[in-house]
Amino acid sequence: MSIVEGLSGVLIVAGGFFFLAGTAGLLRFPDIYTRLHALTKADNLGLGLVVAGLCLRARSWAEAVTLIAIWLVVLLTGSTACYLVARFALRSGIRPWRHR
Amino acid sequence: MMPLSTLFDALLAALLVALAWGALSSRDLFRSIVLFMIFGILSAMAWARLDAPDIALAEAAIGAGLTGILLLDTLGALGERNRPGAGPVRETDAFAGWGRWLTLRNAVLGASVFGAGVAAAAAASGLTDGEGLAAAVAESIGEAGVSNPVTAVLLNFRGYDTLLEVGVMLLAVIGVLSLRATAKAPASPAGPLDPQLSAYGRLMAPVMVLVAGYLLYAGAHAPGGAFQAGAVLGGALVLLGLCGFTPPGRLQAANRGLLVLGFCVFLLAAVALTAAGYSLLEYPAGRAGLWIFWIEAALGLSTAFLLAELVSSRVPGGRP
Repeated sequence: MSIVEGLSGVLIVAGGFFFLAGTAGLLRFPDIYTRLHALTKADNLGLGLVVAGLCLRARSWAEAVTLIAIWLVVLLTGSTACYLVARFALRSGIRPWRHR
Repeated sequence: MMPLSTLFDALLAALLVALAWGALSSRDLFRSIVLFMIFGILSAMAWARLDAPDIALAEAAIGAGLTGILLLDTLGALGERNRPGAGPVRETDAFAGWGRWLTLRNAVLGASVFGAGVAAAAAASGLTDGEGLAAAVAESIGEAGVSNPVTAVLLNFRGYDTLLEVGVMLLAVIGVLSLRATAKAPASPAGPLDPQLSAYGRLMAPVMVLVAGYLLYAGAHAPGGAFQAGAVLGGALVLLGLCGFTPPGRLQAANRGLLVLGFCVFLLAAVALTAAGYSLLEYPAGRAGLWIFWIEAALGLSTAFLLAELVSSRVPGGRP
């Protein structure tokens, strides 16, 4: 196994860890705002690391650029969707959770 | 040990049945719709696993995306379940009349058993190895004008099927429009656009138009084509509507023309070819690719506007 392949594997596993952590947060965090926080970490960092790992294995530059474009679109869409959900929740009168 | 791909497929199949069950048995309509959209995304993945990327593209764009928006749009219009924390929606009388023995749950269970039975029968009779009409299509692909077999079947070998389908779609939208004419038009709230949402729309809409154009062009030799392109372009139109952008007056006037453009072009092509002595939708030898491209371009544009027309409300989400 070459160094590039090993690095790629490490990046993909790290990305998987963020997805796992994001899912755990989604299930365990106390309110909608903290859950959104956990979810967007999975989208941004998790997918970013997986894409970085896959780019190292890409057969061509075009493939790597496509992967990065997918990540950028998901970044944009994820953050906008998160903002919309949070805005709707805030307007519906859901108060952010506070530690007692 | 089971290969990883088999494990993945089994998980996917089990998830699909579970999601279908959840979507149909949930008494909370919002939850049902969200489960249905997830079902659409996963079934697109299932089509991709079955090596049917054309259907996967259509399922992701129409099944998961636009149908989901339509359902949410309807739910918003019903106005029953807009607030989080509102109680579950009551069962309607139509469902209550079905009697206890035929609940939706049992219907899903029955359909699953039936599907499993059909799959088992197909596997037992060796149908799964069958190629269907693939050999016949491959044989005459040379004269189809396009190298993508799916487009060849849709626009050439069975073009009249597609012509009628487009007609049905147009009729459905005309039905919706004539019903909506009596309903009150949604009042568009005044005020500036939401900065984040409008920035997103400004960035994504051109990208989606580009993707739609590529899908239309690629349909001749790769997965894609008029309907996938139309679904993506329609999605762009819906997105712009949701962001609060209203089309300029000139476009609104042209809208109805765009709705019928695809069907008219297709029909005119069929009539012209028949009048010139060809059989129904048989293209002149060597020119088939060109005919298909222009018909597809018109169909794609019309599909986009037909789908976008179905989504009625300019949801006030665009306004802060």
